[in-house]
Amino acid sequence: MTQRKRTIFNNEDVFFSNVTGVAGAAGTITPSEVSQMHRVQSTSYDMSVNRQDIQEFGKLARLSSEIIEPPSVSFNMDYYLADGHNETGIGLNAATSNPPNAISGILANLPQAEKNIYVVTVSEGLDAHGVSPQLTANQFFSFGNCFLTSYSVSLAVGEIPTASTAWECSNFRIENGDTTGIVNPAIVTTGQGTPVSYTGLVTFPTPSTGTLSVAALRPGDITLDFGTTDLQVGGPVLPGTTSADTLTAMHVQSLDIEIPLSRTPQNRIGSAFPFSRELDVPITVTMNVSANLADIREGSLIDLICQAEETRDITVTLNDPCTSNTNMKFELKGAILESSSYSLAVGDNAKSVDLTFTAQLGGGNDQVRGLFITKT
Amino acid sequence: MRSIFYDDLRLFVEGEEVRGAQSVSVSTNSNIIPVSCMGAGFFGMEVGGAVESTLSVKQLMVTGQNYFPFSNITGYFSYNDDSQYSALQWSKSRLDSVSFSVSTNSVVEIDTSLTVYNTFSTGSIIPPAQEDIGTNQIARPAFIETNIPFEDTNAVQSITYTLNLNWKPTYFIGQSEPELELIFPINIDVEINTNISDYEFETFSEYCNITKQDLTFIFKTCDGDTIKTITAPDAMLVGITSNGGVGDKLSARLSYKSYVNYTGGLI
Repeated sequence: MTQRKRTIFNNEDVFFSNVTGVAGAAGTITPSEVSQMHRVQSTSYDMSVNRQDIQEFGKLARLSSEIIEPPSVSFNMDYYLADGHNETGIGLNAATSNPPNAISGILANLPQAEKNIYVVTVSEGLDAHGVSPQLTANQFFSFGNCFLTSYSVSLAVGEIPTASTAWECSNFRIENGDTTGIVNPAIVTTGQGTPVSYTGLVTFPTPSTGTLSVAALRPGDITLDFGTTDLQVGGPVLPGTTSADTLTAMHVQSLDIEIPLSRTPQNRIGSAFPFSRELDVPITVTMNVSANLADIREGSLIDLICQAEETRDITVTLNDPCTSNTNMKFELKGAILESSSYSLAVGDNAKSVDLTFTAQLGGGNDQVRGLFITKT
Repeated sequence: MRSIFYDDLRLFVEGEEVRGAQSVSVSTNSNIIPVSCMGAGFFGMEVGGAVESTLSVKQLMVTGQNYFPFSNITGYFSYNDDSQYSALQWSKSRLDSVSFSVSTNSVVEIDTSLTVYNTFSTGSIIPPAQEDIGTNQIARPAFIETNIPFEDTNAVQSITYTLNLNWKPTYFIGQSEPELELIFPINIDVEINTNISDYEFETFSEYCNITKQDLTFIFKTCDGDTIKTITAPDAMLVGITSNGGVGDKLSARLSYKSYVNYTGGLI
């Protein structure tokens, strides 16, 4: 076998699956139950172990260094947005119309909330696309019992719309490929005592570029709608508002949507690994907007203090290139303005304004508050 | 002359080294009384009673060793500074309490409190070479088996088991050390802190419905071998405190109490 000199991006593909397949307790997962991630731009992962030194009278050096807390495994992945395909694969809820709350499945602790992640590396010099993962020459880095801890979308002038995800996992396996598949990296978390792995094998579909409708989305095909009303405190004319019909709306340079889904590992006496990782609630979605200021609307800070809270529904639509066909849409409902800042310096091309909106995610059946994702 | 650190210290009880010792503290107090008499007034001070010391030991459970007996315990606390071996010895003590603490982020801890009679004597004792006990008997929280009824559906975060002994020391003229009589019943307190995932109503005992259960905690190795077993026989639930709040997990602290009139098979 040729010894590998290096691994570069074309040698790897990323797959996601639920922790167990339809086969259930054995942990067998078939290719139809594995979802390939498309347009992946970067992955990074690390593992750390906290130990407690055991020392005692009469001995200077430690007796041993015991692992008391479960190991910490983290996985990060960035990808270009397209069709909402990856969002479905990572466990978010997206629909072609009337989407539910994006994290309703995660909130309900459905099987989609907990994932296995697999990074397959094929032989040096080959594209991973088109190569069967079930080869002994392949390498696998697989992660079991993974929970999404952060999802963010970044849109900016001159950049391809990108999503970034962060995960916390319980187990991390490194192994060579096999014609029969690889061992399910997940741990059975319902038992107590010595950790037990699933015995089933995971087999993968042959990866490809997929059947997505676009290679990537473009910043010029993004439309923004901040609702019909102006900001209570005054400030920039927001795109989509009634004022924008007659005045010049701010020129958005970048927009980020961040969903923090931090989780607290649920440890218990008798279990070596967390038996679950529960969401820390409440969950507040943040939208940061940076724009060049154009026309303004009047307002006063006192108006914010003495008037009823004004929420707005903000819609970010990403269309297919040069068309008005919606490829993906993010709706942040029930958002309120948290902060605004202005700056201008000698030499600047334009006066800039930064706005931060926040909205709390409601329950799975809440249709008026939260983040909603429409896909192709 | 140099400072003495923990690797120079060793604790022996009934001839067996206390392994996993993390700290030992000794507190000695003497009751001094002034002596006065008619015609002379105050003329001196005398020791008014037996000298008692409190010896507290904190250790990690690193072996399945049998722990301290309950009474007439002897031992010594050895220390050396490379030039000589010294030791504080005692010849009679009683066990006042022993507490096992289990939490999700620490090796099992044991706190033991003894009352030592008479002053410590000093001497030169060369302790035996320290045995290699290996590392496979260290009690970790992941490998503890219990029969707590709600354990399977809730997340137990900590367990504290405390065994308390009451004694009646009787002094006789001509003896500097008392005779010890253990007063029954022995009191065992068990406190369990748990996060609640599945609320099951635990039954309090009522006048006509006494509910008891044997609580057993088995400390095991990764391979499933038993390191140690402690029990609270016929434990009764005597208290529940529940807490929940915005941003917090719903949790509860359950207190159990057990009374026994025997000493065997408890720890």
